[in-house]
Formats: sequence, C-alpha cells, structure tokens
Amino acid sequence: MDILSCKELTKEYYSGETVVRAVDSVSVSFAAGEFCAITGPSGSGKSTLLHLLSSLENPTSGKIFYQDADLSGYNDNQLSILRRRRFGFVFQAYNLVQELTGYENILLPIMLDKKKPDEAYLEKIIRMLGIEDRLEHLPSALSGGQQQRIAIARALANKPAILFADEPTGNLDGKSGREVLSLLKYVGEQTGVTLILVTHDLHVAEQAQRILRLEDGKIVSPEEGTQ
Amino acid sequence: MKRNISVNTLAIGNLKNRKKQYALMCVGIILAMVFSSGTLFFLISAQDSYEEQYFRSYGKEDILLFNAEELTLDTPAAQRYLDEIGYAHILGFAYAPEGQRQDGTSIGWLDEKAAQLAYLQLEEGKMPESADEIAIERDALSRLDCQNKKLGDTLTFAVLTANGTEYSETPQNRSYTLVGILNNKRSHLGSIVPSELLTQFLPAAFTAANAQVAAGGKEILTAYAAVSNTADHEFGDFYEELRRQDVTDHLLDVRSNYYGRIDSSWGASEEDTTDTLSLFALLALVLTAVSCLGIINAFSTNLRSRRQQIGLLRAVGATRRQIIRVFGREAFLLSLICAPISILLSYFGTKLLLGWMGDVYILRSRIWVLFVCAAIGVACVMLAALLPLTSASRVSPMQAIRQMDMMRKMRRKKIRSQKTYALPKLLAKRDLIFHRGTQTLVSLLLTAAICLACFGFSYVRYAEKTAWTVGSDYAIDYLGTTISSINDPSQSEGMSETDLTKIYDTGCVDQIYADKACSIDIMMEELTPYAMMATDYGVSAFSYDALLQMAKSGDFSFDRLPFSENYQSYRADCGYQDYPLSASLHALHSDVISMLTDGVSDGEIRPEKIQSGEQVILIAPKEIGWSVGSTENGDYYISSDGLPDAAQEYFAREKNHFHAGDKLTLSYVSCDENGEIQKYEREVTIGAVVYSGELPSAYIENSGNAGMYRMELVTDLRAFSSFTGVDQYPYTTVKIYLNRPCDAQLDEYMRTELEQISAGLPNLNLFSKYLIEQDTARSLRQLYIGILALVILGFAVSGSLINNSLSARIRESRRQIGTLRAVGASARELNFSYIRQFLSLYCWGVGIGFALYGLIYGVLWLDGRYHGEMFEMPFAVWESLALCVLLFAVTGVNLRWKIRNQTKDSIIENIREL
Repeated sequence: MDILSCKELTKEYYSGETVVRAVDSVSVSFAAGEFCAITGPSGSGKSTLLHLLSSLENPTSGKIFYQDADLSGYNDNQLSILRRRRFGFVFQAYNLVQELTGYENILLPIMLDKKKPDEAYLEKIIRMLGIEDRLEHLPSALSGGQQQRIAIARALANKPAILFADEPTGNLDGKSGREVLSLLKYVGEQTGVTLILVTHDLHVAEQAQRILRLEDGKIVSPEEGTQ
Repeated sequence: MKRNISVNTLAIGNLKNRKKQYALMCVGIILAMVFSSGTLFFLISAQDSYEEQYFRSYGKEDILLFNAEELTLDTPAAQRYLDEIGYAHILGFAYAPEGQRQDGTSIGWLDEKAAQLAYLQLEEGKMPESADEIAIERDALSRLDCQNKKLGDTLTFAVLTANGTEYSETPQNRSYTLVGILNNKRSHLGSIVPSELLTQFLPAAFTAANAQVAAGGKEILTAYAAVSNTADHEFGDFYEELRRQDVTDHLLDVRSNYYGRIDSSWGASEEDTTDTLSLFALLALVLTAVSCLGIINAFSTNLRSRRQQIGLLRAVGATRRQIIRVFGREAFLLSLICAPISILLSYFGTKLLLGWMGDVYILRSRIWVLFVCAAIGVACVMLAALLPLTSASRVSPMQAIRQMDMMRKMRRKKIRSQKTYALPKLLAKRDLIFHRGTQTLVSLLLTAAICLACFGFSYVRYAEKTAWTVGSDYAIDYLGTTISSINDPSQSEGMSETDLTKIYDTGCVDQIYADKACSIDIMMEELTPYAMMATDYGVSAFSYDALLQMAKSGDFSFDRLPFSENYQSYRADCGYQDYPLSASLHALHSDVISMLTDGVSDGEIRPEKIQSGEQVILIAPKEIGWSVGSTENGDYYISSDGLPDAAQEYFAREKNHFHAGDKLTLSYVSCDENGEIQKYEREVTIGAVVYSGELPSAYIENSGNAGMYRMELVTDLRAFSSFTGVDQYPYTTVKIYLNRPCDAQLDEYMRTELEQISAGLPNLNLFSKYLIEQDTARSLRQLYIGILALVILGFAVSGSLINNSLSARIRESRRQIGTLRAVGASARELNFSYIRQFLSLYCWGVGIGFALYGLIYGVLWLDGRYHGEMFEMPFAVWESLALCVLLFAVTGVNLRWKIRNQTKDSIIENIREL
C-alpha cells in the first residue's frame, strides 16, 4: 500500500525573467516501510522534490497524497500537525535549535504536539543512536556526527510514518557518514518507518531498496537498490 | 592585480554589504546628532531670546546720561570705557492739551548710534520721514490720550519747547501725523529705574531725524552709551571716573539696575522664555542620551550578527585594536556622512519650532556653532559606539565561530534539560538566560519609565491642586509694612484715598477692598498665662533666657517667669500702670468683615456695632503651646505653636480665654514729631471671637491677613480713626475686582495704570490674577508637556529596545524559525512563542516599575504621616498603565508583523537563508 504519492508534481523558480523548472511533472509513489534513495547530479531537483513531498514547500502544480489524502487542500495548521505527527526530517546542516539542549531538541515535535513522550521508546532511540551522554549539551558543544544523531532522534521522536533525510551525511566525514547511514537504516528497520533519502553519493544510495534518479527535474531511471 | 587593503577598504566594504542595516543605524545616528545639536541650539537660543527680550524692553544701552551737552561722555569714551555713544536730540515736551503735564513725553529724534542702542521696534507703521510726522511708543500714546488714534490720524499736543537744559513754561499747540507705533521702552525703563529724569528727558515720541527745534529754543541732548566689554578697567572704576566729573546725578545705570531687579515680577516674561528653552534643552539632552542608547543597541545588534566575521578576522590575525579600528572607522564614516544632514535638520527644526513658539524666541546664526555641533555629534556617536565595539573586540575566534559564550553561560547557569511540553515557555525562559543583559536593560528602562511616569503624573496633579492664585483680580501688597508697637502714621507708607479714586477712575473697577493696619495694646490688669504667651508674637513680655532655663530644667511655672527688660522699658516709656498685650488692629471693608461670619466661634458679628466702633472682632489662636527643642549643635530653643499639634509634647499650653462680650481697654501708642510718646485709649467690647486657624478662605483672600498668630482686632474702616485718633492713615493692602472679564489687553492696561498709581512705594508687590493664572496655566502646560514628553520618551526607548532586541533575535533566528516550522510548529505557535518572549521581557520591568512606585510612594506617605506632614501628591497609576498597554499593543503588533514576514516565506527559504 502506498503511503505517499505525487502526481504531475512541478516546481518552478523565477530567476529574474528566467523560469527554472526544478521539478518537472514528477509522479511517484512510496510504499509503507520502504527505503528509497533519490539521487542525481547537483541541481537536478532532488532536494526540491524531497521538500515538496514533505510539504516544506508548496508545488507550482501537481498533487501530493498522504495515505490518499490530498495535501493541497491542507492549510498551514493542518500541514504543521501532519509534519509534527507523521513526518520526520533530517537535514544536511542538522538544523538544531541552538538555545535548547540535545534532549530538548529531541523533544521538540512532542512539545509542539503537547503530548507526553513515550519515555521507553525515546530511551530506546537514544540508546540506538548512542547519544546518551550528549543529551545535556547545547548543539554548539557537539560534533557534526553527534548533532546529526540528535537530529535523527528528533525526527523519530514522534514515531513518524515517513522519515525524510536530505543529504544526512553530506557534512560528515566518511566514518561518521557511514555510522549515521547505518543508524538510519537500522532505526528504519526497527521502527518500520518509510525512509526517503536524498543523496548524490551512489554508495549511500545503493543501501536503499529503491533508487530514483533525477536529471533536470525529471525521474530518469527508477532502479532497484542493492538491498 | 595590485590592490591595497586598508581599514577604510574593509569599513567601506562592510557599509556596502549591509546597506539596510546601516540605513537603520544612520537613522539612529542622525537622531542622536539632531538632538545633541538641538541641545546646543536651545541653550544658545535661551541666551539669544533672553537678550533679545531684554533689548526689546530696555534697549541695548547700558547707561543713559541726561543733559549730555553740559556733561559729556567724551572722557570715558576716550579712556575706552565706552564702546558706543549715540544721542537723542530732544526738541520739546509734549502732553495732551487737556491732560496732566506729568503724563507727557519728551519728543525728539535719535542719531544713528542712539537708534541702534535704543533698539526701537515698530509694532505698526514706519518711522517718521518729515518733521510733521511722529512715531510714539504704545504706552505713551495712551498717556497722551491718543489710545484710540490710528496710523494716519493727526495728533495735537501741547508742546513745551526745549531750551538746552529745561523746557519753556508756555506750551504751544503742535500737530503731527501719526505714522508709527513703537513698542514700550520708556515705561519698561521706568519700572526698573524710577526717575523724574526719565519722564522728562527720555523721548517716547519720535519725529524725523534732523527736525529742528522751534524758534528760540535749543535741543536737549540725552546720551545712550554701551559700556565696553573689552575695557581694561572695572565698571566701578568707570563709575568713579564719572563721579569725579560730577556726572552720576544725571546718569542712569540701566543694566545694573535691571539685573538688580531681575527676580522681581517685572522680569518674569524673560525668565519664562529662558525656563521654556532650558526645559527644551534638557529634553533634547535626554533625547541625546536616549539616541546614544539607540546607537549602542544598533551597533550591538549589528556586531552580534557579525560575530563570525569578527571571529574570522581574529582567526587570520587581527588584533583587538584593529577590530576596534575597522568597526570604529565604520562608525566614524557614518557619523561624518550623517553630520551635515543632522545639523541642517536640527538647525532648521529648531528655527521652525522657535518660529511657532513666538517672535521672542530667536536663534542667531553663528558658523562656529555648526562646527561645535558637528564635533559634539561625532563625539556622541563615537562614544556610544565604543561600548559595543570594545565588547565585540574581546571575542576570541573560537567564541565567535562556535558560540562559546552560550556554552559558558550554560555551564555557569547549570542549565539542564527541561521536561516541559510548553515550547514557547521553554524558549522564552532560555532566552532570558542567554540574553540577560538585554532583559536587565529593558527592565531597568521600563522600571525607570514607569516610576518617572507615575511620579510625573502625580506631580502634575499636585501642581494643579496647589496652583497659587489670588482671590481678587489685582492685589497690591505693601510689604514694607512692619507694624511696630509705637505707631508713626506720618512715616507709614501706603495708598491714599486719592490713589483709590484713581484706581476707580480707570473705569474698569467694580470693587476695591483696601485695609489699614496699626499696632494697638490691649491693656490688662495682669497678664494671664495665655496673654503672656500671646505677647510672644509682639513685644515679648517674658525673659526668653529665663523661659529657656526653666524649660530645659523641666521646672516651668508662669508664676516664676520674669518680665523681659524690653517689655518693662516699653511699659515704663508708655507710662502704663497695667500690662499691655501687643496686638494689631485691622480696619476692613464691611463686606470683608462679613466674610468672617463662617469662622465665628463665639458671639456674632453685628455690622452696625462694628461700624460704630462699639465692638471689635478678636482673631486669636484657640490655644498656644510652648515646646522645647534642640538643634544639631546642642542649643535649645523654644517653639511657640499657635495650633498645637497632638503629636507634639508641650511643657505649657494655654487656651484662649477671651470671649464675646469681654470689655477691652485699647491703647494706641504713637510718637509725635518731637519723638514724644502719645497714647490714645478707649474701651471696646469683643463682639465675636474667631480662631486664627479657622479663618474663612474668602476672608484671607480679601483681607491681606494670612491668619498670623498675633492677636488681631478687626474693625470697620469707618471706625478706624476712633481707635487711633488719626484721620489720614494709608492703606496697606488693596484688593481690586474688575467690572468685566479680564483679557490680555485689559490686564496690560490695568497693570500699567496700577504701576503708575503705586509708583514711588518701595517694596510694593502687585499681583495680577490674570497674569498669575496665565503663568500658572502656561507653567502647568509646560510641565505637563515636559513630563509627558519625558514619559513617552522613556516608554518609546523601552519599546524601541524591546522591539530592536526581539527584531534582531527574529532576524538571527530565521533558520531556527524554519527548523521549528519543519518539525511541525505552525505560524500561530511561533507567534505565541515570540509573544511569550516579549512578555517575559516586558512584564518584569512593568511589575518592578509599579511595585517600586508603590513602595516609594508608601514610604513617602508613611514618612509624611510620621512627621505630621501629609504627603499630598496624589497616587497616579492610570495614565502609566494606559501607556504600558499602549506600548504593549504597539510592540506586540510590530512583533507579530515581523514574525509574519518571516513565516510568509517557505520553510526551505527560512532554512536556506544562512
């Protein structure tokens, strides 16, 4: 069963008088529990596609469906609730709130939802990510790898249905990158979350069950991954 | 490509790259410079306007020399005592054909120098151009019975021809065409230098230059001179020189006389001008300080957002001094760019404001002032910028790049993860920790603004409540009246019946309440303790030293209190067998006596008995108490209290034992021309008793009696001579009621008339209700505007600080906003989060401000209560609360707008921004 799909999704940017079509009539669907990598050269529109799918940006045209619900009819409030409850995000630049500790950053979506956290679940995630001793630190006191682990924990804190990751290893060295990727995969398998990952690194993409290759905003070669 | 990189290149590069931020900083800098220049301009204008008003009223001359042909000023001029000398050529003395000669004026023309020094100001028309044209000072015009004449009318005067030093005795009628009306000079000079010479030889009517004196006559010269500012000698030496020439009898030292009277009511308008401008200068100074705070804030925000750049510069080897130089150069460049705009804005703004305020407010152009303004402005900006620059230069590369200060603060404050699920609250709380400095500054400013506002509005209400005025339209108090026990009517000065008639003759007066006063002795077979104590306000019957000794020893008894030597010798001089109790006798208008009715404690006021002199009214303290106190030096003193205070301990207190119906023997003591003491005794009955502390306000306002504790007997004016045996006795206070509502013109007329009528009475005080009320209203208005401006300023600065601080935080947190939105925060929740932060910034200051005001008010109130003096300033919080709400609303709306601006972009744009 498809958890997320889009039809004829298009995103255009205006650069002066020139119209740049970052995503060009893309139609694709993602099954629940799937690990899909979106790859392509720089400027191919892979990050834009991820942002559109995750409702971080509005498409110029086309529709996105989450569990058959058309997201184009959602207002800001409904999209916010969807993001905090059903989606998780991992960014290349971590994007942690600098004034909050690691633990508080993890709790962000739960705080926004005004729910009590599942302590056991959180503990499990934190242990899986190996950040038990970094929780009381501010982001500025953490290394890149540690910050990204906090970001992954935050993305998973609310037990999302889909985890979007935009170049999650892009800012990390090879070892840290591999560790983070393994963790993402491991957590995905453990929690059954759908993982949609954008990367330009083919070695990373090969870890996915499915690889979507984008060029000039169009899917050119849907491939099966090595896994 | 070879290119030199200097501090200027970096500074200019920064300026180019952050145009918007710098545009805002320029606004702050321009404001600071405008206000700092404004301070200087207002201060200079205060001096200029004061001088201008003085010149307009009295002219620029320092001295006037009459009969200047005989007694020339050539010698002092040759000795460089005098800068400038000009002459009035007096052709004759003009007065109304049907009028009094003393109401006339000399008529003549001024040479060029004299015209400059006299500083004649045309109110209407032009100066005369031919011998049959005339321009007259407005006051002189009314004295010459020409107040209704218009420009172009023909005026006919009786003119006494000048004959060199005097005027001829035979007047000749002469006609002139009125071509100009000048502002008053002679009457102003007359008010500070009362002199017959001034009336006779200072012209207030002018004809064309070079007009000739009538046949057979000779011009009289009056010299106008300005004393040299650069004289090598003192003014005293100069005066000595004139004395040697026997000139001083003919000389009026205008400037010294004016400054000698500067605190009198006549100089009030000049004082007001200076006060107003000084207030504005003070406001501008406060605004300068506030603008400097704005600059500090703008630079701090700018530098905070550039911490990484600073860190980078430090990382590549820039020293602290170089960092200060780079960013200081920016501030300097900005201030140089802003200086000309600011000074021009300030100069023309001040000119415009002064123009609105009236033509007496002037600012003379001086080039050096503009340079001083520029220098002060640049200095203000550099000083304000120095603080954030010094702070920024302390940042180490690692601090800047990795936000080490946040980590340090976190360690210092022992911050632990909060298991709270209210994100806005958590962010607001954390914000307080990381931006404690801003929080403290905002709280301090808000606290100060609220306290200032509350006390300011309290004071305005207090000033309104206690504004002083007089009951009658005009009051003339002759303060020279000292009632001595031995009266001397021939030496007493005051107004005569003729003067009162003249006041009625002005045609504007409805009622005059005038009163006479003298000293009188109440004869007693023996002095009762109360009477003994009451003598303390006249000729003390007791020995003060003995009283002090007894009081200190705590063994006081009236029986053992000896008489004073003064009292005994007075008694002997008067040949008294009995004991005199010194009192004062006031003779009042029957209407004023009837105003005492509400205060009567014993008996009743029977007008016919008072008018016949059969009865008097006794005004005396209900009770008198004596207490002993000591000074800081350890000296003891006796305090005599006519209204005993319940909280005070008295070693003696006695109640008034005089009652209605008591018969009194009164003795009026005076001395004749040979110095022999004369007594005039008679008996009278007390018709009514009024206690000093219970005098009706209407009586106080109309009687010239402020409820002194001295024993006072009140009689009717018609009966006064039956107590003194003297028919002619001067009036010591006069209250005048007009028969129509007073306006500026009528007030000017009445004051001029009253000044003339009362001329010659030394120490005279004339109070005009209209003038007092106008002054009070103006003062209150100025006070209210001043306080309101300061209060609004305080709130505006606080609001601007809150706004700047939160705006900067919102700008810096663009990425954080994107992150929060990405993890599911809606725009509403973000709004709430920042409003919460705003509230936490705002509420502390507001809460502390009102609490502090309440606390200080309470302490002052309790202190007043403890010391028996009520703290009379009303409690005022509503205006301040309203301002707080307004500030909250304006800042809140602005904040919301700024957040909306950030959230209208897509989340990705928020995140990508940095």
